[in-house]
Amino acid sequence: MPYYAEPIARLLEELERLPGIGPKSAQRVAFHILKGDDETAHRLADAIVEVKRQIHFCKVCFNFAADELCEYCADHERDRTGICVVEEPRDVVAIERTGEFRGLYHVLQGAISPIDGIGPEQLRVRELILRLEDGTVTEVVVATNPNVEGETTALYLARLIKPLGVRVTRIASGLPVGGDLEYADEVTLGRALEARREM
Amino acid sequence: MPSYPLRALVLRKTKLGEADLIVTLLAADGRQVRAVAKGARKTKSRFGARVEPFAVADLLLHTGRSLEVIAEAETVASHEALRSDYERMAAAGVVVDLLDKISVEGQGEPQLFEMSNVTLGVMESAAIATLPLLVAAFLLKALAMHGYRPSLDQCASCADDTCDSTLFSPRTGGCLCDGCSPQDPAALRMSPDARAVMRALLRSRMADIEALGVDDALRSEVVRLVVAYTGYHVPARLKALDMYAKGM
Repeated sequence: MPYYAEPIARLLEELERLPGIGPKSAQRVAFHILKGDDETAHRLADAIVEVKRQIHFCKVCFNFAADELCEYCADHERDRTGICVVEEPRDVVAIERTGEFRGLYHVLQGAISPIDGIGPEQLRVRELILRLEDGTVTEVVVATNPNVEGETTALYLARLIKPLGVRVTRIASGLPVGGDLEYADEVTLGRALEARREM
Repeated sequence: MPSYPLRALVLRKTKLGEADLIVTLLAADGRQVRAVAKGARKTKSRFGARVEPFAVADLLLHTGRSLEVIAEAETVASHEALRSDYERMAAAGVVVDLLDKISVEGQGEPQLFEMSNVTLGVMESAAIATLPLLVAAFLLKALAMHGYRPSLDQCASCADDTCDSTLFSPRTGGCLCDGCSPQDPAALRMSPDARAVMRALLRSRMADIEALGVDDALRSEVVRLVVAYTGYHVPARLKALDMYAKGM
């Protein structure tokens, strides 16, 4: 005999498909929705349907966009000579939060990972190279993650872009602000020393 | 929760939950161990590069219910120079991918760890042109350790030791004499020089492979034969090797 009525069981099944949601969390979310008023449930359902209907990839940078272009590509105030290359759309948000970069973005939608069989052809690399063709862009900032996949991608991009006469830079690696030196691993600390600056 | 120290080479990592990683390790005794590194994806993680692929680390592991949990990590060798070139990363990727596929939980092969560590060390400083030969040598040696040493001096089918044919059969396990050649229509052409290089790769220490002085054409032929041999005998698709062979 099933423990829950069919609609609840269906909701639990769908919630459990979400990342980081196990049976217990699914139960908690489902009962929260059941206890809430109709309007809250409709708002949640509408938001999910709307986001799937309206959001697609920007045709230039492959960030999420509600229109043909994302808000950064459509903004004429932004510096069009610099492109920051990131792995995922959420990385754009992380960089924007710093307020340090005023150029455009390019979202690769992943990183090269030979062990997982992800090569450059599965990423938006070709589209990035096409964006560099008209000569407007003078610098590409590679902001892929500082792990093996991100470094592989950065090295691959540098090899591809440098011959085009475009400056390729890599975001620095080093110690997180607020961290303790003694807990830093040797590679991070080594890179922090390597990239030390005059005071 | 009992804990124990372990020296291990990091083979791969898989994202787990919000900020954790499942790290696949090759322990110093050659068995595979999978462990959770909690919070390893956070920028302030105490693990940092210590649980990145290619790193050798001294770990303190807690025995978990299904997976071990990494409590502490200390770098032994980061193999940092592998990250300086795309070619070095790609070659090292083949090494860890093969280890991930052939190592087994609870089944040790101590020489495998030592050879892998040495191979990665040599790949850090070898000339870029030597990397494909190092990859081929590693594949041959690792397969030999697992009982799949290609027969290069005798016919792999009839054990005729006057085998001097130019056919190499991954399926049969080595070169084929003229009499046995009809047994495998898919056998590959192998020049006498390629056979000599493959013998040398199996015999030589990793550090001595650069001194073999193999030209481009011969190197490509050897790599093609070794890739075919590995692809036939490893019971899983080696994606890193596929990409590496395609990019050569």
